[in-house]
Amino acid sequence: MNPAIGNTPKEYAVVPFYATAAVVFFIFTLLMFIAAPQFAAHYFHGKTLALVHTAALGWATMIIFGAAYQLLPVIFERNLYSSILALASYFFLLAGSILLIFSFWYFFLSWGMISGGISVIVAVLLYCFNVFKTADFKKNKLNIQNYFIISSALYLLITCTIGLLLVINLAYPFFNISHLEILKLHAHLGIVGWFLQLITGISVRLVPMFLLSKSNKSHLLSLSFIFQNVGILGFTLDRYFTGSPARSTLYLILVGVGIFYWLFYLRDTYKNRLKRKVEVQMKFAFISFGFLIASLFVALLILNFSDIQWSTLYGTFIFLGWISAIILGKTFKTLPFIIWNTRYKTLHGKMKLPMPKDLYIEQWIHYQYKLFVAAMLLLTIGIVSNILLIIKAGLFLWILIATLYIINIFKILFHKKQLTDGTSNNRSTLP
Amino acid sequence: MRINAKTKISELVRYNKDSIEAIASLSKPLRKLKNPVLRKVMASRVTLAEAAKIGKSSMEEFAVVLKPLGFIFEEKKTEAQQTKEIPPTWLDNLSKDKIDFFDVRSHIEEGNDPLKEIMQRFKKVKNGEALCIINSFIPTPLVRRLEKNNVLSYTEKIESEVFYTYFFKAEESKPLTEKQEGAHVIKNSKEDFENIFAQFDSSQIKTLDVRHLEMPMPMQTILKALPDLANNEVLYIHHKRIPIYLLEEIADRDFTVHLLQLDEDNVKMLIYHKK
Repeated sequence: MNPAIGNTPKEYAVVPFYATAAVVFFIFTLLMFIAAPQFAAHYFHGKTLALVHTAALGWATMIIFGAAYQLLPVIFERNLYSSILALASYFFLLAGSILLIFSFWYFFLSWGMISGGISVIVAVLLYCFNVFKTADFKKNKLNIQNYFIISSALYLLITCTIGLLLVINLAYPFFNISHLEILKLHAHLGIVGWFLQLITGISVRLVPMFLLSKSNKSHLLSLSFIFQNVGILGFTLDRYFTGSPARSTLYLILVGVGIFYWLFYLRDTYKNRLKRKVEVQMKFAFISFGFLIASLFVALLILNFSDIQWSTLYGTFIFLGWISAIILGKTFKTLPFIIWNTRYKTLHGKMKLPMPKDLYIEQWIHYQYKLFVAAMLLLTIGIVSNILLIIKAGLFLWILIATLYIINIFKILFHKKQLTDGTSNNRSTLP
Repeated sequence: MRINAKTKISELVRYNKDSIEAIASLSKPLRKLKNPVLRKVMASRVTLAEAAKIGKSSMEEFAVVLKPLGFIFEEKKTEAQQTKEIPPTWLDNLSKDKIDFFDVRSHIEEGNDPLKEIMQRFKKVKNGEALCIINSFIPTPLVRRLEKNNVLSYTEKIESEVFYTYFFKAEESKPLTEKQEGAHVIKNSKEDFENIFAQFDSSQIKTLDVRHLEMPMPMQTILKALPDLANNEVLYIHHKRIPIYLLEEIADRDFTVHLLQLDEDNVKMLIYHKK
């Protein structure tokens, strides 16, 4: 009998993450709307931190964990080490996120923040453990694509550890360096170390699969890995030990170069593709890259001008323009497949099988896309010109996006097994 | 090239252009094949057997003229599709004002494909009424196509080169679709799969083993093999898992896909063109 070659993990190791992330995303858009005035204020404010961590932990990290547990077997071609530990990480992440967000929102309740932080770290440790045990470290098996996934897990751990230290410092100050300085390091270790490298790592495995393509230019990925890591580590260590922002632009450029090498690799994949149709999910991917690059320029603005709206714009571009856009697109290329797999695994008959695409309403993703473009346009204008009404309009559109998204997600999750005979008569058959 | 009664004329022409002249020489009605527009319209829709009927020739005569061009004729049971002797009840009960008569002969003589207009006119036909196509030969591809949508038809021979083909829209007919809705993907039991596999003989089977290939090569290999798959051939694939992204990719193409999941990491597939 062949050793395990990468079978899909149990549904309970993946689905809770997707379902919860969708709910959190919806709540997040509501909270943003309620806290709209925050978009005109300084970022170090309870409500803003609550919003950022709702997006970063409850939405993005939550769904990334789910997608990662589903895709690690595909990427490493080995079974997920433990579905049970994956489920455990879900509960710790959920509990930790809720505690943290709640505590931030209501002006820094120390017990809530600290216990929340600890819970999140436990979740992250469980995740890292699963990643390392699933990864195949034999020399010929570990290629550059997989380095990103492993390093991103480490960065997540570091980010959350620093996060915990930060919340402890808020309650019982012990840092001899400015809290805000450490906060910047925490944020960027998370954004560049965790999110960027994870997204890079997964995209370079999945995009060729979606586009039915292949790229041989793995040297581009090696360069991307080096530049991204030198950039973020340089930034962190330099700022920590010297406290000087003088070389920040340099590190920004290094990370930027790393990003471009990654995008060039994807472009090579795109050029060699067999799939001709440009799906709407791809449009989301393209626009997310646009916002990622735009974020780099906004970061330049921040380094040179201290107006607070640049920081707000920066956060908006990163969490809404880049990370959320990718998730909104890619969810429908991952979740339907795992549900389809588990629903129809043992089913067989003489009737026609539905396709994963039939599990959700494809048309709504098109609406999502149009709303997204409109919302980001309004938010950008509103934040830069500091007009609350326009900001609120943009945030309202985000609520609509989240509504479409969450209904589609639950449509997939509640899909019932059915086989059709190719006509409009649906007949459900069970083995 | 191996051919049989079910081979489409277009396949013959693609293999050897001289086949046009050869078939046209058999009888007057078949001379139409020399008209490029008509050939474009008919050749990909008409099989050898149907052409024989149109030209009132026999399959043997066809074999004689095609053999020197490199065509090897294989005996396969041909479907008998004759004009039914007795008109059906629905036609008897149909009054003339409930029939839309459409003479397509002038269209064809001018070199136009009347199919689009035929379908448009048929869409306008109300339930309980009919469209009558007047033509110099039986429009067998059209009959086949509409019968797929549960439309009743009957052909009446008026003269040697004049046929009236009635298409009746019964009270509860399904909405017409221009094409059948894309690929049929079926997950079979071992027994059913083996039965389907047995329907093909070894010359028709193209085997692909993609188990050793690294992602995304399995999908790419299969996709590259599909355009070269002839109508009567089947692709038999050994795979480690059900290639869902591939299935999505071919979802809007006219294939039938049979899947057999023998084991967690052992999947067999059969892909062939939809009949």
